[in-house]
Amino acid sequence: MTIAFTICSINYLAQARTLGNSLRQTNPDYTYIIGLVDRLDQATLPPDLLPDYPIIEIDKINIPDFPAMCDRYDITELNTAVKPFFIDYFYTNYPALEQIIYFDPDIIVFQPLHKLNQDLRQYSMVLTPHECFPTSDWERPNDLHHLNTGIFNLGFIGLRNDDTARQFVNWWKQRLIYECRIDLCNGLFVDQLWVNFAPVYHDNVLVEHHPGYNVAYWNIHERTLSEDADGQWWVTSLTDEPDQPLQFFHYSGYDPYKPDAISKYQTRYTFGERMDTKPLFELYRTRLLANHNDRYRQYPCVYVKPPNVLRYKRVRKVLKSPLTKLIAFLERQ
Amino acid sequence: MLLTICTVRQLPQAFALGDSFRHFAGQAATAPILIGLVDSADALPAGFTSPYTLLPVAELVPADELATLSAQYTPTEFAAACKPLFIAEAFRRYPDVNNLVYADPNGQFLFPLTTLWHKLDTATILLTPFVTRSLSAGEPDEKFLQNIGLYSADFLAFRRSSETDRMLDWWDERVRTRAYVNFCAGLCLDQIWLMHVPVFFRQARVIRNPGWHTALWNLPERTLTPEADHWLVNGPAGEKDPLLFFNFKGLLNPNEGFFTHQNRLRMSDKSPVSVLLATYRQAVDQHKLPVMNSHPAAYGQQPEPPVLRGWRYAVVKSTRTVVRFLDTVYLPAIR
Repeated sequence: MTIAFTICSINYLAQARTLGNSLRQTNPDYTYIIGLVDRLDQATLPPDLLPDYPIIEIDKINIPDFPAMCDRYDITELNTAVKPFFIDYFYTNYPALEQIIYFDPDIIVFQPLHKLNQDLRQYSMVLTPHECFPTSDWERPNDLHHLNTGIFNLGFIGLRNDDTARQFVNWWKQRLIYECRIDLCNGLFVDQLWVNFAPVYHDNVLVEHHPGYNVAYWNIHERTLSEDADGQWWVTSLTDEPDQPLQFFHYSGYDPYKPDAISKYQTRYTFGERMDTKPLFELYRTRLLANHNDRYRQYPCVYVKPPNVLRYKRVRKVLKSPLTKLIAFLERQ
Repeated sequence: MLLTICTVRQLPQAFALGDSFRHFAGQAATAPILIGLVDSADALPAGFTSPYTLLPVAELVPADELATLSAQYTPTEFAAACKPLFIAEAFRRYPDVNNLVYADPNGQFLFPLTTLWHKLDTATILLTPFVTRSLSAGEPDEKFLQNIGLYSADFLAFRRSSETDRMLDWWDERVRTRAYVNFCAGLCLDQIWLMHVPVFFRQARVIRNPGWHTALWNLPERTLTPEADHWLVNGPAGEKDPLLFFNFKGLLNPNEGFFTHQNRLRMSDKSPVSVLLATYRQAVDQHKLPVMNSHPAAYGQQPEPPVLRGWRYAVVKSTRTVVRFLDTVYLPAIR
């Protein structure tokens, strides 16, 4: 049995449905599950907005002291922190489980993932690096950005049900209980930066270089896309290897209401410069809108807290002043 | 061949490293040993002859660039900024050399390097991680390793190849101007850039054998046992491996390196580490010259961050915690 799952709140269910539909079409033998960081009983969705996929709500998977985790984290941190807890829940509750594949909700799968399934018979984990080739300019994102946000993109991870993968997931869970924060100065970037350790601590990790995996704004400097007469998408990489079929595309930072921007997180390309990618984004936009994105996005997530406003900055500064002077004095000695 | 990079003050260590390489290099016993000097050679006493070839940085970097780099970096950052350049130059100067080992001057080879040359038959670049299993509670923690990079830049091996050339060009392009230690900006010397190497360069290999690059930071996960003429290292997975290369950074000089406040390894007089350190100290001392000891580094005019000890360290650490608390504590609005 292979489980493919995603994690999102109700406002992203159009994305999760789009991903699920693509999986149903390309990989019908997978069991697709939506992990919901939200509460259906509080949202009371009309029947046509209830996805035709199993949904598991985050408060039902027995995360120890989950309310405290909600207090600690903002919505981004919370959504990413629960990833290994879902994986562990699947390991525990599905005895026939052989493989688990996590996808971010803003992904479309284009092919049967035969290579991935084959690799997961041999490897404990499959990870995709943000980039397989360096960037040649300092536009965003470049080689430097990945140094403190993570070499691998955690919009995707494939895991086998074996001791190594379970050991890794347990370690990851322990880290994310308290340290799934964004604090670059202290070596933290949500769940993603931690995964740098996976190939250092474990032997049996496949770092996937296939150019058709996890294609996104962070690696299109090294990949070009094309569609053949049969509607099949192909990826040309910087290697001499033949073009490879597009496996899955990650629409990270794309906003269907701002269809002229590839991603809000990148500055390298306009669609004018990357016409090869444009039809893929138009396809995504059409599917999202058909899957009721307009309606889902109106639902606020129950776990969203008001932003933490830092008040009294001047008072804080006055209180800190003698302390910073003391530190400077001691460091001068 | 062997390449190391050091200041005049570190020359005795570089010579000891060279001696150990000469002893254990096997088929490469007559191979060149090159010392890149990130310092001015003027401080060397008249008539001084080095047992190994010295290559002063001024022969590699034009004077105006040297002045700029020196002004912007600490001595540690400056040495890091020049490393890819020295490695590329070593390959250029010695066209017959195929395999190059870069080692920090704190290193010592302790076993025949046959396995190292053997690994380079199938790989172009060899890297060693600081640790190979999850750290127990203590300082520094895993987050800190993320700040400094998970692969150590103190021990690298290269095979002459187009991939190695590409790696050195790529590395130099980034490191020359971005060798700062600035964790918030994702920077840490030449070292953190190595995080990309196993992904970008397909024939790079990460060596997790416990006998490769044993050091202060990974001794808590490894056990050393003496044999007749070498040491055996037991790693986290229980495997036994001869001790090939030991890095004495932070052991010979506790104020050097990123592990100045580590609290996992506690040394006793008779521990294997103390034995290794005593032997290493002798190897270094036989090369000592008084003038070297007092010579400040000529390049890298920014001050190195201070290493505090005892009560000062404790006070600064807790004061920083209070500052962080004042920066982030939630305060309700007063109406």
